[in-house]
Amino acid sequence: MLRAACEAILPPSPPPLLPQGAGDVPLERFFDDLALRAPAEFRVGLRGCIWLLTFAPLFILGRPRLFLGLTATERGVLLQRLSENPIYLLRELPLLFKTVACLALCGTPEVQTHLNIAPRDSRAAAWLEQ
Amino acid sequence: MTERFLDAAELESQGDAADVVIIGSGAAGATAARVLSERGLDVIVLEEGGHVPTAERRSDMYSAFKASWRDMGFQAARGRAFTPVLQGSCVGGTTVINGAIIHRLPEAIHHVWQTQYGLGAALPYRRLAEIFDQLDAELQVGTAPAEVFGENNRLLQLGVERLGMRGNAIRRNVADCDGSAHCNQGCPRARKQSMEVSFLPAAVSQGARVYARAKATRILSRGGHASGVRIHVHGDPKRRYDVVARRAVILAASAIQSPLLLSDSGVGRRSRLVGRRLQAHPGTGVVGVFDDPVDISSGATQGYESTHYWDERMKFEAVSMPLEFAAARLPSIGSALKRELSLFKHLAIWGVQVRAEAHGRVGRGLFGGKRIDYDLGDRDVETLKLGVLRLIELMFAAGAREVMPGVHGLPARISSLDDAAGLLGLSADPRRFHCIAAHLFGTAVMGPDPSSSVVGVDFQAHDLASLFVIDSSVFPTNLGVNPQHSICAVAWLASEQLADRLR
Repeated sequence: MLRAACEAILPPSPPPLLPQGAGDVPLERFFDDLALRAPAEFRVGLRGCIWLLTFAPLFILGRPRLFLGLTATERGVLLQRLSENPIYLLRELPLLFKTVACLALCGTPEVQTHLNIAPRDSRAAAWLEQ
Repeated sequence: MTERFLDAAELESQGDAADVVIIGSGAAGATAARVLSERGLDVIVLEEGGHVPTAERRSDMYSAFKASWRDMGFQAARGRAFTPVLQGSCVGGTTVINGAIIHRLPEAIHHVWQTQYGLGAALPYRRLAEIFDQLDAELQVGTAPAEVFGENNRLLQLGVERLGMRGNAIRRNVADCDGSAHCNQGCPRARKQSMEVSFLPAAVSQGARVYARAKATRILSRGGHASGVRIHVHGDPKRRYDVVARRAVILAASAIQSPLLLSDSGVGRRSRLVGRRLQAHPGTGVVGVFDDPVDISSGATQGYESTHYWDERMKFEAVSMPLEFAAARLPSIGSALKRELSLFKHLAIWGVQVRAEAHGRVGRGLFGGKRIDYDLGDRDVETLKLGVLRLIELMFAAGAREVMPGVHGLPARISSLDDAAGLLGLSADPRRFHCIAAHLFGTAVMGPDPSSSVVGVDFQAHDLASLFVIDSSVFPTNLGVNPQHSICAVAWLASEQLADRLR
């Protein structure tokens, strides 16, 4: 579920856009590391957000589907709609998932190289080496 | 100088004792260690976080979060909105991950402390000014060299000049900055004179011991005097040790951790002020898109600022930030986000920091966890709105073709200042913004009267002798400027006084 949300936020793209998507890094390993190291309050919050997102198609799109039952495009539309929702907690949901996705993908040397960010450290993120 | 720090696990074989035991290795604790060890006192510094040598630092933000940030960067205050509360948790504390911005305690703030809080004699400005001079020299304070200043900073300067505002290159504690824009990950070249490369090695060279991963859980007392600190090895609560303080304990663990430790140790109950009156500088950022490259991934992380509207409780700063942060701040999702990312080299990011009037609270929550409550009032939100509007104006004055205000109720992207006209008419709701709080004060306030303060004007806890609190917890108000230098100066002064007392 978390993987699907991250992939919807940062999907693979055709050139000249950044080709890598969140699914191109070993997200499960990242989630495991996050679950191991993040404070309990964050983990509980993230789990609650996953539950909300699971059922969000019902009350945001009016579709009798769960999040995983949507196509990749529909997931992106749902997350965008959530980010514009007048209810604060709902519009914060995508930001949380976006933060997780960006931490996982955007720190990798491949992404930074593609965006012409001068490398300060040629080593991969520590979680990728575990 | 050596960079030899010890690990709390080393206490297992031999224990340790010193004249003065300092809890916290950030700006306040490291300064105390620097001053007291030079005065010939035997000093131990206990730091909850670990130590990551410069050579072992990774450049990605997630690695930095794990190594150096409190709660992996996920510490947050609760109010109507969630506000991330940014702090370091490593040897050197928040100085390792901050933007290296140096400001002296504003005289206007000192005047308030003097006239309204009775601190004039305790904190004589003339002596503080001398200490600031010495801090400037030891921490190599100066502005970023022109060749690494960076376009993000230069554009803010341009906007400030075009609007006729007052602005300046930021004074920073960085020696020969190479413009890596990596201040928030910990300087990859040890150019930033954060405490783990400056005052802590200086203290170690004078005989101080710095223990990493030593989480203080209780201040011990005997006969009405602080007598030591109980710690456990971070992440391993069963490995507990008592560190003996022969003369004094100094609490310098920050305005979040210090009141928690006071409460857990049963200190400061008389005033009922421990953990109350939390003050901060909430801030938020605005993103601008420019035709020419800006490249926030290089240059001084924070090199230019404007205090033109300081009297209106706001201050503007350029903020370079790592891709991970910047990407999360962009408004879109999916392919649209990827298109925004393709503009990364053309993005400028500037922030407004507000000297908020709000008071929050730090205490224990469910299951003994930490709980931070902080909510902006209407006046603070109005200040924030005006600050964001001025940032937008600055962006367009500097030549931005598009601005992403990041305010719920405004369009995600605007192409002229007119598009932001509705901002001031929006309701004063903090949930419209994505704020962070990075400067924290006031949770164990200092004062002459035990009924209205936690520590006395000699920095000693009113109800536990030999316990001295010297970090920004004791500040009666927020400052309106970045506090590291003020924290160092006040800790320096407190440590001088303590050394004289223990002589």
